[in-house]
Amino acid sequence: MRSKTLQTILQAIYQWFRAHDGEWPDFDTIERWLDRNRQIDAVQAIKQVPHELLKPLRYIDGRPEPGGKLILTAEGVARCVASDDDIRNLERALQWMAQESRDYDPPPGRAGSGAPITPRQLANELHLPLISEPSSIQRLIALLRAEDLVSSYEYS
Amino acid sequence: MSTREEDLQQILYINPDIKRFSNVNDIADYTKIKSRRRESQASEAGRRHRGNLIKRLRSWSRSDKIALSIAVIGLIALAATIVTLLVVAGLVVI
Repeated sequence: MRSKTLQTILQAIYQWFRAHDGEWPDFDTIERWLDRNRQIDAVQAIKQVPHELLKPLRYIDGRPEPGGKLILTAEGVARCVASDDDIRNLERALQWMAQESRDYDPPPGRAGSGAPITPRQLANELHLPLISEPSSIQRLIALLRAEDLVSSYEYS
Repeated sequence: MSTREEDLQQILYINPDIKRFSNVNDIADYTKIKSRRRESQASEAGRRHRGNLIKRLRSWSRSDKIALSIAVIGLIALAATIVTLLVVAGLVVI
């Protein structure tokens, strides 16, 4: 796959992600956008995007599921233009979360469970602007979930 | 759009595997993302530069290319003459 096509796909997904406050686009949305604006065959092109950059999709009859979410990995986001703030926040979050995890003692009977946090706590720790730019924390949580660094279940 | 308070208070759990980042100061796995990007941007810029040079060369006329070839051959001949003269001068001095 040509690097320009790859970059166009990654950038289209990321632009949508930013514009929709940390919500990942579905395949159908990006397919229509690529077809309309770049004349790219999304079915063929997305098949060739490495999984290090884009999470694997579910296929039905050789086509990605139309409602399937296109989720970039941290590496995929890092390849996009104007993603510096998201990557910087992700790295700072990792530092803080690694420390929280080390300091956490799971309650009896829940050995191996993950340390609980809230998005507000994370935003406060990283000094993210909840009022002037509320989507920064939403995008950060979406990236952490995409990397399976946080989840709604306890991991135990 | 503002973030809803209930979203901010939602309990999330940190993946215990995050402890693999034992060196908190560099978070090696993730800083690689940045260096990879810098490398890819640098190589992209290099490719663009080379592409522009090739395009410019292709746009040259035949006479331009002949003139450039003569200039290069002339420079090589001049350099060879200077080296020869230096060698001869050296031999004379000895």
